[in-house]
Parts: sequence; structure tokens; C-alpha cells
Amino acid sequence: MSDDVNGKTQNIKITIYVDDVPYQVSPDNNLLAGVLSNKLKLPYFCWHPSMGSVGACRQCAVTQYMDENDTRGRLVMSCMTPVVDGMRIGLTDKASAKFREQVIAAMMTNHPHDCPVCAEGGECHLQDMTVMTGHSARQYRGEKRTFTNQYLGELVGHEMNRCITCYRCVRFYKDYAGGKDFDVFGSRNQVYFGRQKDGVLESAFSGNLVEVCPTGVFTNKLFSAHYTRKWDLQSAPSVCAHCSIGCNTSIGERYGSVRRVMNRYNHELNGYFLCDRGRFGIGFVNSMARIRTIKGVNSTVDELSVGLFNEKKFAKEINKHSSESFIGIGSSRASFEANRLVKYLVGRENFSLGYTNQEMQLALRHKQLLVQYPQQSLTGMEHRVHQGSEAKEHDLVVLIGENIEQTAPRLALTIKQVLRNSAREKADSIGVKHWQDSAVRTYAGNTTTPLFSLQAQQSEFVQQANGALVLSVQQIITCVEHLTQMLKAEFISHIVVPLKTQQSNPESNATERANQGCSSQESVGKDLSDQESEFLLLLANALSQAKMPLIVTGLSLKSPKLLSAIDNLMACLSQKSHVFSPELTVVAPECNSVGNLHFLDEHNLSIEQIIKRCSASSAENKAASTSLLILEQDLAQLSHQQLQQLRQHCKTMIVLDHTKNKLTKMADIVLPVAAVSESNGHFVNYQGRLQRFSSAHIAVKPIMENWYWLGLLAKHLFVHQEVNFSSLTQLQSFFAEDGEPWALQVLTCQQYNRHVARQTHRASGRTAMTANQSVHECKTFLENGNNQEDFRYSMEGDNANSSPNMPYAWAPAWNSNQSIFQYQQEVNGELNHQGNENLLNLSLSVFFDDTKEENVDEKLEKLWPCKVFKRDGDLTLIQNIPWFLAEQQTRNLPEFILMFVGNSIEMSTELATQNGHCSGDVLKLVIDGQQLFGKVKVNEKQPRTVVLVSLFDLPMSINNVVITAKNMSKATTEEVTEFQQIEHNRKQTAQQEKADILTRLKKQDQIVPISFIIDESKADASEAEGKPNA
Amino acid sequence: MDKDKKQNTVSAAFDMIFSQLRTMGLVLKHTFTKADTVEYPEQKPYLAPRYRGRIVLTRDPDGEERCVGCNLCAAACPVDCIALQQTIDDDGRKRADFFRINFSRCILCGFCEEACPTYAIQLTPDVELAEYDRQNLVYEKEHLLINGVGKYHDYSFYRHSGIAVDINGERKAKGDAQQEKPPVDIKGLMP
Repeated sequence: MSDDVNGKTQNIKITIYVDDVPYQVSPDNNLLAGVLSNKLKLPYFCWHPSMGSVGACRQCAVTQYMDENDTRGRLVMSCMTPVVDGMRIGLTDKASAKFREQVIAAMMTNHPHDCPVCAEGGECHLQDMTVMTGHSARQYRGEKRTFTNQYLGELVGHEMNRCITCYRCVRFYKDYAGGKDFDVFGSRNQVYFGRQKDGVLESAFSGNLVEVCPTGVFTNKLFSAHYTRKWDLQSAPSVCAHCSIGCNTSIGERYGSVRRVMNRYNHELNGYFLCDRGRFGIGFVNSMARIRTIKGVNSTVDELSVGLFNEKKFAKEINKHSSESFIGIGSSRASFEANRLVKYLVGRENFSLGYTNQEMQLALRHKQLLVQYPQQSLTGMEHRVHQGSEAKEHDLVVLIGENIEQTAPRLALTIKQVLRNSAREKADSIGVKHWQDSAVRTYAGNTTTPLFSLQAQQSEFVQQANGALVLSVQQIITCVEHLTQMLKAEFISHIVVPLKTQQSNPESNATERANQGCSSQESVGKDLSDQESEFLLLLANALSQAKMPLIVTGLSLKSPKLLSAIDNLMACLSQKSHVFSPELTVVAPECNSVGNLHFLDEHNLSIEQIIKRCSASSAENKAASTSLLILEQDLAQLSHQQLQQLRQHCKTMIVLDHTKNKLTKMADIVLPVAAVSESNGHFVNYQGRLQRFSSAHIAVKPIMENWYWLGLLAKHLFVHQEVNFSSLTQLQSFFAEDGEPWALQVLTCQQYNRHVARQTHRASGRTAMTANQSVHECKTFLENGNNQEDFRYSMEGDNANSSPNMPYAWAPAWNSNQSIFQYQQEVNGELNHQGNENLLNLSLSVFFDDTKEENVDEKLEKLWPCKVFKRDGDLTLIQNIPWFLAEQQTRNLPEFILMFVGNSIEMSTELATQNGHCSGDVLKLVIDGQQLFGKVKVNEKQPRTVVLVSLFDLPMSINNVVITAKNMSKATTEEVTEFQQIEHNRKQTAQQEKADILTRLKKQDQIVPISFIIDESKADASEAEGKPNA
Repeated sequence: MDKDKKQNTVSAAFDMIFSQLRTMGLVLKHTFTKADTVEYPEQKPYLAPRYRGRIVLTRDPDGEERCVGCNLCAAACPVDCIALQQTIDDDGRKRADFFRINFSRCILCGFCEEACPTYAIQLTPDVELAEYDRQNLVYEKEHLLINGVGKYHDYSFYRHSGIAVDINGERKAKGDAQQEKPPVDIKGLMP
């Protein structure tokens, strides 16, 4: 194969003969992978491209021949057979074909007769394989085995009768994702996959069982509740909006409502797996809290205005505000283009990212790190990285100050695979290949790549780590600083720390070294406890030994100092030598946070500055006071007082958002914008990768895409700005003409996108779905203009696979998501249509370019003064909210609320005894005047200074807050009852909302929005008649 | 040679005349035979039970809806005139939340009946589908559902499938369906 773009050389290929036809396969993988890489049809079940082989299902049997004269051959399981040059196998010979058919026949003896009611039907790997082997009639006439099902929580359904015992589920859940509450039970014909007893699956990756299971044992409960077949889904390639990793997803829509999210293969990022927040979190677009009408512009806001939008009326109303001067607040969860447009409309002096002073400093530090250290993709972390001729793997992982299980679960899954590097290496040393999954696990056992964790809270990684400390943020910073010192000292004095004792017995090693009083030990400051210095010594040893350490950190602790300490550490590590290449991964808070860093410059306003400016102008002159234009931002990190100030001092507050929140309540004008499933644009992930997301369906007016709203505002409100566009591409070209590199990049990427059909070629119901409204079929959206779209809302158009961004995965005879191998260069490799590596070029603005490191702190302080909060108190409050509530958009999803066990406040034994709190007490916590209640949990392992909170009403953006013990007091009896009532009500409301949403969606199925295809003029006319179209 | 040519011409002429006469004879004969056409609205023709006319949704022998909303009929429909939405009810059964056939598009091909795994959708010998208003040809579930089993008298999908549902108000648990063993005791120690 040819060299690839990055200069990585592809592995040398060898030749095998399948039915006497030569094929090129990679010697690094097994025979099955080789056969599938050549797009041949060979049925399989238990093998998974990313999980390797175990040879459990016996489905992939082929005949292997000795040489060209051998006519008999022997059956081998292709997934367990390594490839050798010149190997001859038979795929279509009678013996192996019959064998494969009989394997299916055996599985079918117990497979129930329920395909019509099975949610997997139509995308079932078992159906595909049954057809592929030609087993068309059931031979077995006896009784079938049955199982009782388990309740596995609100997300995943269980129907054990359908199981074909391929073991994929347990291999994924337990072995791959490290889950502990799911296993295989029983023996022989009675093997059962499930939990020990009914209960919610704990893992954040349980949703992948739905895709991993080749049949319908595990189903997506949210999808099943409002179900449609895969062939009927109108899908669009999208990007997950629920963390900064930017996993590629495929959103499926039917009858005008979003049904589900499936994984969309991206070789660089998510591969085959998503986290549950991304998979199930999409439910927020259907929530009852969505904003569906305009507030504050059309005086007659009523039910009838749904489906209609009168631009003239809107223009007239909005034009009244055109004399006001606006400050624009962007958002890290809105698309890159929308943010750019807001900045353009209000001008860079009036633009804010919605960050406080502290967050501005944090963002700048973040940007600094990103500019210096390119971020590796998830696949890059997981697999061997080819540098020159040598293949390298990460041999050390250090997690500092970011609970990735909470903020970026998909990254945590990747880190779990990185930790297996040394196991794979160990197995490799005796010739066991990496794909021999079971053999690798048997031989290498618990061997893991060294992991060190320096965190503010407990996590799963803490238990696996070779060294782990749970500290307060301040202590973490001190530790990182000391670590840098130690490494610098070692670097200068060339003291090699012996490794041999380190692995065998870390403790004795540390003490020994302490007794020796070596230079690195001396540099450890006095303010460190024994435990800490011991940990640092171990870590310093490990770092100096490691060839390719991976350091993972993030912004969730909101500490600019931590990032600058990490910067120093990285600088020190990078100096070390040329063989040593440390890598850094910084987890950003939201899906487009890194995109917003592009707009970060010295002119940006912080929230404090906005408040100051607003109040100054309102004091000066009442008429010319400032107004706010807020794009998809809830400013959750602000205190009640700050919000009030903001509201009081600004004249008009225009908020564009998709879901109701505090700000939309306050705002004068609320414009309903489309959520990620209904809109187009780009998100920039933690690496700076610009990723396009497309709409799965068109939003019902007046809900419109954010850039479209902003375009209307540009026309009628910001009349002095000359920008006129009617499509996103036009908007991008507008910025491209200005020479903005990102826009040029984006446009080049889209060039080869053709008109791809969003619907499958089998989509049904076209002439009936809107027939209840009108038997006369309406024109499709495409016919009505808008030819700029890459994807069509139709079954007509190019195949899904003709685009680098495939809306869905399908291939002839492969209906399930497994079909993706047909579009990969080789199994588990890059897609045929290799998308451009579209990295956003972040550069620090001129202002910071020639600034020396020492001055940055002062300059930052000058720009965005962030007084060190000397709030008296020695306790820090750290968010310990579970992963499903850690993102603002998905937080109100009823299924997630039902999974939440309840508010809790976790503290050390010492602190609890000091203040007389016991486990189970209800505490009242006061932060910025807000009263929060939670049950006390006492944890002896926790440091005294850290209080971990898991409070539903506390947004994730409030973290690392200094409090005192006084802020926490025992709740009175009434308050306890109130608290219990709130907890109870929350679940009740969630249950109710779940039912309400379903009712609403079913009602909406009857009125598939057809108004969007009706001309504006006609809509106006029918509105005049007072007759709604939808 | 010449003789042959002459003979051919003569026989061709004879054929022509005979054909004309035969045609006239047949026409004459049909004047006295009974007409195949009938005075339609007054007089209705016999249509066999398997004739493909108006589509109905049937019920199983227990009186429950047979349709499980599997979407196979919609997928099979060549003119895409069937739209439906599946829903799960509290009794564990899946049903069509709505089921719509646009008869103004339907070509009565019967593919939907062939595709139906539960014998729910059936074509009947009623072919009188004419309306002054096309909109009236859009049939919803309430118009389609009949109180009977149609052509298949005995079949009940849920008595065969392994899904736990209510039948006649009683729970049919796992293992209670036809040709099913009782559920496996996964914690049992017996081999």
C-alpha cells in the first residue's frame, strides 16, 4: 500500500489465496480480518474488529489447504488463524459452507420466534448471517429454551431468549470497558449474560451493548419506546455535543422527531464505541423544556404560531432595538460559525465568550497548552504510534486534576485500552499476537501500563493506579510544581533512578531512597506530607524511565494555576531528550470550547467586565445603555447576584437558546434555536479538529438554526453590518473571502460532498406519512430551493457511503452497523473516504507572542483581574456528580434523573467528626446565597480539605469553590422533610415527564411538519386567513 | 417453379377470405351468447375470498389486534402508501400507535399481506374504493381494523413468540408459549 499522508508507512502486505484468487492481507491481523478487509463475505459473530478474537461462535470456519494440490483441506476458524504468506483457503467450498450453515442452524434451535417485535430487526447481524449462510428453513421442531429477563436500568433493555452466546457483551462490558457488574453465568446450553441480580448497569458504556450484541438481547430502551426500523430512519452525520471529545454520531429521525443516536465510525476518535451520555443524551432535543415559540417579539404568541414565522413582522419589531449598542456573548456549546458571526456582528471590542475573569485566564492557559503541545487523537493514544521506523506505545499514564470518567467518558475508555499496552507487549514477547484476546488476557493477567493519578476525587482509575493521591486543588498544584523541580534536578545532575526495585516493592524503594537522601528527595519541599513525597518520588522515577508518557489533564477544576504548573512540567519533560516524547491531553469543558479559543484575544470581555460596562453606561445615560445578545449560553457559573446585576443594567436582553433556563426566563426576547440534531455547523473538539455536524431533520418554525437567526438579526438589527447570506455555505464563503483560514479549510472539505440521501433506499411511507394532513403530496425540501445542502431530506441522492461523512452505515447483505468494514481501507482502519485532517490553527494573538513566561501571569491579571479568592475557608468544594449529569444539556433528561441516587455531600472522617456530622445526616450547604441539601457520606480515604458534592441543582461549571465548615450546617427537621420531598418529587416529575414526552412525540407523529416546505409567501397568506398549516 | 408460385397466391387469397368469413361468423355467434359483462352496480360479480381488494387489519382468535407494528408491510409496499408507528402497551404487547394506508396510492398488489409475519394485514374481496374526495381514501387504523380473524382463523403471534405479554387478561410469562421449555434456573447447580 502507498504511504499515507502522515508519513506513517503502512504495514507490508502478504498474499493469501482465497478460492485460488490472490488477495493482499496484513500479516499483523488474523485471517478473518484479512478476508473481511478484502470485502469478502464471511459470517462471524464473536470476533470484533476492536476487541479481537476468542473463537467462541465457530461461525467463521473456512477450509485451509496445504498447497495447490490439496483438494481436501481442513476446517479452521479464521478468526483464530494467523495469516502466512501463500496461504490457501476455501471460502465457497461445500464443506465449510455447510459447516457454517449448520452453526447457524444450531443457534436457531433456541432463537425465539419474535423478529417482528424485536428492536434489532432490520439491522440484525444474526439475520444477516442467517441469510448469508443460506439457512432458510428451520429444521428443529422441538421445544425452545427460555430465560427470564432482567431489569438493567432505564437505558438498556434485556431479552435473553434471543442470545446466541457469542460472549461479545461480557467481553465488551467487563474486559474492554472494565465494568464490574455484568457477567456470564451458567454452563452448556444455559449460559446467561446479565447482572448478578436486577439493577441499573453501572458502566458509562452500557449503551454499546446494543451495538456490540449481534442480535436483539440488548436494546436501546429510549429508542424502543418510540421505535422505528433502521431502514425508515432519516439519518445525518453529526457530532456529539456532550463533551469535548467530539465523537462522531449518526442521528436518526422519523416523522419529525429524533429517535436515536448510533455510533458513526471515525477512525481517529470514537472508533466503534460511544459513551452513554452521547448515545442517550440526545433525548434533550425532545424534552418538554425546549423553547418552541418566540418570546417578546410577536405580540401575538399563541399555539397557532407553531410552524410559522413571519419575517416582516419580526423585522419590524426587532428593528426598534437597532439604535442600542450590543454586547455579544458567545457560547462553547454553539457552533463555531455562530460564534464567529456573533463576534462579527457586535465587533471584537464587544464580544465575550461568557467567561468570568477566572475562566478567561483558564481559557488562555488552555490555549497556550494547545498551541505548544499538539493533542493526540484517541486512536493515536490507543494504538502504536509510528515514529520513523520504530513503533511506540504509551508506557506511562499520568492523570492530573481531571476526572475523565465524569467529563469525557469516551476518553476514559481509551485510557483503559492504553493501560493494556504493556499486557499486549508482554504477550507479544512470547509470540501471542494482540488480536488473540483471550490468550493475551490469560498470559498477561493483570499486567497494566503504569498509571499515576493525582486527583481531587476518587475514580475508578484511582483503584488501578500504581500511585494515586486524592488531594485538594492547591495541593495538586504544589505537587506538580515539586515534581517539575525534582525532574529538573534529575535532568541537570543526570541521576538515573534505578527501576528494578521500583516495580517489585514501591514502598521499600521510596523509604530506601529517602534514607539515601538523594538530590531529588532534597528538592521535595517541607510542605509535602510523607505520602505525597513518596508518591512524587515514584512518579518522578516512572517519568524519567518512560519513553512516551501520556499526561491527561483538564479544565474542570477551573484552576489556571494548575494549567500553568502543567505547562512547566511539560516544558521540563520535553527538554529531556529526543527519544523521550511526552504527550499531553487537555480535556476541554464543552463541545466547542476549543473552537472558542480561536476567538480568544485581549479584547474579549469577561462577565465582570460586561457587568461593569453595562452599569457604567446605564448610570451615564439611560437612553444609550447597553444591550446583550446571548447565544446559547446559560451562564450557570454566575451567582444569583451577578445575574441580577447583568439583568438590571442591560437594556434589552436577547437570548438565543434551545432549552429553557434561568437566562431565558429573564430575557426580553427569546429566539428559539435548533438543537444539534436540527442544525448545521462545526464543533471543534479537544484536539482542535473542526468537525461538521449536519441536521437530521428541519426544525419546526419558529425554531430555526442559530446562524439563520443571527442572519435575520444582521439584516434587521445590525443594519450597519454588511453580511447577507441564506445558507451556511454562503456564510462560510463570506468569511473565506475575508481570508479566514478556517473558512477556507471548511469549504475545501465540503467540496467533494455531493448530494447524499439522508434516507435509506428502503425508506417507507412516503405517500402516507403526511396523508392525514393532505392527500396531496408536497414537494420535497430540496425542490424548493436550498441546493447548497450536502445531504438531502429524501431517499433520492447519492449513496450514504459516497460521502466521507456517512449518514448511516449499510452495505448490501450487511444491514447492521458491522457493515462499516466495507468502507474501511482495512478492518479497523481508516475509512475509504479519508476526510481531511481538519485541524483549527490556533495561534496566540500578537499580544502574547513575545511575552516571556514570567509576565503572562501579570498580564492576565491586568486584563482579567481575578483576585485570589480569599474567601475565608479551608475547604474546597469539588463536583462529584455522576457522568450522566455532568453536562448541562443532558442534565434534565428524565432517564438520567431516574438514575441519580440523590444529592450527597462526601467528606473525610476527620471533618465529619469535627463538625459532628454522621453518614446519612442531611446537610444544608450555602453557596452564594443558594441553599442546597445533601446527604452526608463519610469517606475515610478523602483528604480533610476536600468536600465532594453531588448536588443536582449545582451546575457543573461551579467547581473548586472555597467554603468553610460554617457553610455546611445540619438541616432542621422541616428542611429534612423538604429535602426528602424534593428528592421524591424530582423522581416523580422525571417519571411524569418521561410519559409526557412520549405522549407528545406520538401526537407529533400525526403532524409531520410539512409547513417547512411551504413557501413563505403562502405561509403568510394562510396566516392572514388565520389557518395554521401544521 | 412457376406452378408453385401460382399455387401460393391462390392459397393466400383463400386464407384471406376464410379469415374474413370466420371473423364475421364469430361476431354473429356472440350476438346469441350470454354477455360476460354485467350491469355492475345493480349486479355484483363473484369475487373469490383471495381476491385482492380493500386492505383490513385483523384480530387474533383472542380478539386482540394482530398487528405488532413491525413495519414490514410498509417496507414491502412498492408505492410507499403505508405509514405506521409502533408503540409498546402496558400489557407488553406492541401495537400500531397509528396505521395509515393511503388508498389513493395503493395498487392492491398484496405485497403487504405477503410480508406480514402475523397475518394481521389482509386484502379482502371488496374492491369498491371510489370517492368524490381523494382525502377520504386515506384510511386510519380505526377504518382498517375489523373484528375478526380474516382468512387465517387460528394464528396468534404472541402464543408462539417468547415475549411475555397478557393474553385474555392473564400474563403469559416466559416459557408459557407454544413449544417452549420453562425458563432456565440460572442459579441451579444441576448440570
